[in-house]
Amino acid sequence: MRNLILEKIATLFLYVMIGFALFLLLRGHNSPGGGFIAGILAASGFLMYAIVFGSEAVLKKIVVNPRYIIGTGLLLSLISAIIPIFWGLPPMTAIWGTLGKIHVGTPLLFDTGVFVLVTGMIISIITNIMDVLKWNS
Amino acid sequence: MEFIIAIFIGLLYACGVYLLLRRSIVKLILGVLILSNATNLIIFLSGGIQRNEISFIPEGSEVANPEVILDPLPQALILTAIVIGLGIAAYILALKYKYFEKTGTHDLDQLSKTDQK
Amino acid sequence: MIVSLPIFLPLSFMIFAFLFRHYRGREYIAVAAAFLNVITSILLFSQTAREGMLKLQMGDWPAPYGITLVSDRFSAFMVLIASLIFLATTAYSVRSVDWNRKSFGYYLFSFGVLMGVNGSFLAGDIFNLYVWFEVMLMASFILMSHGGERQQLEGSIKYLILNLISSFFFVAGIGLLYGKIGSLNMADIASKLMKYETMPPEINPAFILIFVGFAIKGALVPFFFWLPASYHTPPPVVTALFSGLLTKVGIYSLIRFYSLFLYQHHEFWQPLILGVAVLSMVIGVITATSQFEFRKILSFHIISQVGYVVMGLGLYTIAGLAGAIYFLAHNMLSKTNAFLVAGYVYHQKGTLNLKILGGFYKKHPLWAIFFFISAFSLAGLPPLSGFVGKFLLIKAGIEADHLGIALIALFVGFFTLFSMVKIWIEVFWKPEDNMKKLKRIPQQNWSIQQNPLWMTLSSGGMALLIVLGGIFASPIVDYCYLAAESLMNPQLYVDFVLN
Repeated sequence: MRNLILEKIATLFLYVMIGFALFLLLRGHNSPGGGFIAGILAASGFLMYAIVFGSEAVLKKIVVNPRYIIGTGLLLSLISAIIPIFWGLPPMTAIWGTLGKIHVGTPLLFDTGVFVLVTGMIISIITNIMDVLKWNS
Repeated sequence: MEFIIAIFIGLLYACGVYLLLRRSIVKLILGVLILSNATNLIIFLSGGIQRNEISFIPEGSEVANPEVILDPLPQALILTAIVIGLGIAAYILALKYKYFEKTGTHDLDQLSKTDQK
Repeated sequence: MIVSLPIFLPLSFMIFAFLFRHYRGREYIAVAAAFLNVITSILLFSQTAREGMLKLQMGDWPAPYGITLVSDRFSAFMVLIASLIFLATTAYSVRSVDWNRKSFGYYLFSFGVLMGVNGSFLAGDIFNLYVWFEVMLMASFILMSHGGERQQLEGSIKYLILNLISSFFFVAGIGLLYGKIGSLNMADIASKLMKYETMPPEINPAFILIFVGFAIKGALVPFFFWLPASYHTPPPVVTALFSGLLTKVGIYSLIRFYSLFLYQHHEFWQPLILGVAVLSMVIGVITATSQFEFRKILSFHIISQVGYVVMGLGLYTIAGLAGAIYFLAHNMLSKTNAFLVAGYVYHQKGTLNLKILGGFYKKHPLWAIFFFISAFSLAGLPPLSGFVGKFLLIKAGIEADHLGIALIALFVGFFTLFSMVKIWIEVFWKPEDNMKKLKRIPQQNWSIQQNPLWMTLSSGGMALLIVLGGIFASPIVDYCYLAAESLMNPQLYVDFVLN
C-alpha cells in the first residue's frame, strides 16, 4: 500500500536530517556535536527512508556501495592521523590553519571521516538486515 | 541518587545473568546486551554523579573552570563502550541468524556436537 | 613515531583490502605487508633494545591525560615474535585458505587480529588496552565463524559469549579503578598506588575483576572452557594464528599488571597466582591425555603451557620472570608450528582423528621432521628451545624455595612428552591401516592443494627458528633477564612515562 503523505515526509526528513547532521559536524569541537552524532543522525534519516521505500531505494540514493563509503571514512581518519608526522609531531596531533576567516585543521578531517564511516556502517547494517527479513517485498 | 542507580545496576546484572542461564540462544544474546549496558552504567556511576555544567571551555576564555564543569572522561569511555557494543550486537545477531538457518534450532543444548562426547 | 608503526601498518592494509576486495594477487600483497610488518618490528625491537624504553604521546598530549604508547624490552620482544608468527601464517594461508574465504576478507580480518595484538602489547593506558582487546576480539570472532560451517558456528557461539563476558569483567574493573584512583594511565595509577602505605581495601575488588577478565582471555583454570570447545573448529591456519597470539595477549597483560600494580599486594596475589598456575599446568595436561583428536590435544596443551608462564610470574623473581618471558616466546613459536603441521595433515587426509591416521613419516618425511621439532620442543627436550624455557623456570622455582611447584612442573613435562609421543606414534609411525582409511569424506571446501611450497617454507622457517632459539639461547636469555629486570623495577617505567 502506498502512503503519499508518509513518502513525502520521509523524503523531506532525509534532507532535513542530513542538513542538521552537517550543522552538528561543523559545530563540533567547540560546542556539543561532532562526527559520531552527526553520522548517527544522518543514518537515522536514511533509516526512515528505508522503512518507507525499502532498502533498494536507499542503495540507489547513495549511488555507491556502502562498503566504499565506510572505506573512505576510514581513509580520511587515517590520513588526518598521519599528516602531523610530516611536521615531525606525534601522530594524531591537531594542526590548525586558517582558510579565510575560518579555522580548519586535522580534527575536522578526522570528524568528517568518522561521520562518513558511521553513516556508511549503519546504512550497511540496516540494508543487510532488511534484505534478510525481505522487507517491502 | 548513587544508591538508586547502584540497585538498578544490580537488577540489570541479575536480569542479564538469569537470561544467560536460559537455554535459548536469543535469550542468551539479550542477556549479553543487558550485561553490556549494566557495565556501561558502572563506569557512569564510578565517575561520580554531580549536577554541573557541561565540560566545554566557555566562549572567549582560554581555560575551563574545574569548579563548575563535569568530569568528561566517563562519558567518553561510555561512548566508546557503546560503539563497541553496537558492533558486537550487529555481529552476534548475524551469527544467530546464520546458525538458525544452518540448523533450524535455537536450543543451546544442541550446541554440544563439537565437544568431546 | 616507530612505536605507532605496528598499529598503522596493519590498519593501512586493512583499509586497502576493504576498498579493493576483488583485486587479483591479494595473497601476495598480504605476504608483502606481513613482511614489511616484520621489518618494522625488527626496527622497533633494535631501537628498544638500545634505549631500554620508548614512548609516544598520541596527539602530543602529556602523559597522564593523553593516550600513551609505551614500548619496553618485554613488549618489543612480544611484538617481534607476533610479527614472525603472523608472517608464517600468512605465507601458509596462500595455499591453505580457499578462494571463498579469501575473497570474503580473510586477510582483512587477520590483519585486524594483528593490529589488536600489537596495540595491546604497546598500550600504556588501561582503557586503550580494553579497546585493543575488543579490536582483536571482533576480528577473531569473524575469523572463527568465517565460512559458516555448522561446527564453526557452534564453536564461535561458545567462544563469543565467554570472551564477551570476560570483556565485561575487565571494563567493570576499569570503571571501579577509575572511580577510586581517578586516572587511566598505567604509569600514573602505579605511581598513585605506590604512595599508599598499605593498599586500601577498595582497590582489590577492581583488580579481582580485571584478573578474572585476563584469566578468561588467557584460558587459565578454572576459566578455560571456551578454548578446547572452539579451537578445533575453524580452518587450521586460523587455529594456528589464534594459538600463537590470542591467549598470550591475556597473559602478557597479566604480567604487565602484576609488575605495575598487583605486586604491592604481594602476600594476597602470589598464592592465588601460583595456585592458578599449578592447576592450569596439571589439569590442562591431564585432560589432554584422554583426547584422540590432533588439534584437541594441542588445544589442551595450550592451557598447560600458559600455566608454566603464569608460574614464572607467580614466583616474581628476576629469574622467574625471565623464564616466563622466554617460555612465552618459545611457546608462541612451537605451538603455532605444531598447529601448522596439523593443518597439513588435515589437508592431506581430510581428518585429524588419531585412530584413522597413520604412515605419515613414510610419505612426508619433511613434515614429520617439522612436527618432531615443534612437538619435542613443547615437551622440553634438549637442544630445542622448550628445554631452555623449562630449565629456566624450574631453576627459578627451586631458587625461590618453591620446590613443590618446581617438581610439579617437571612432572607435567613428562605428561606433555607422553601426549606428544602419542601423536608421533599414531600419526607418523604407525603403518597406515587401509581398512580404516578415510571413513569420513574430507570437506572439500578446505582446499587440498597440490603444490605446498608456501606451506613448507612457512613451517620450515618456524622449525628453524625453534632450533636456533634453543642452540643460540644465550643472547636471548640475556635479553630476557634485562627485560625482567626492568619489569621488576616499576619505578623506572613510571619515571620514564610521566616525565
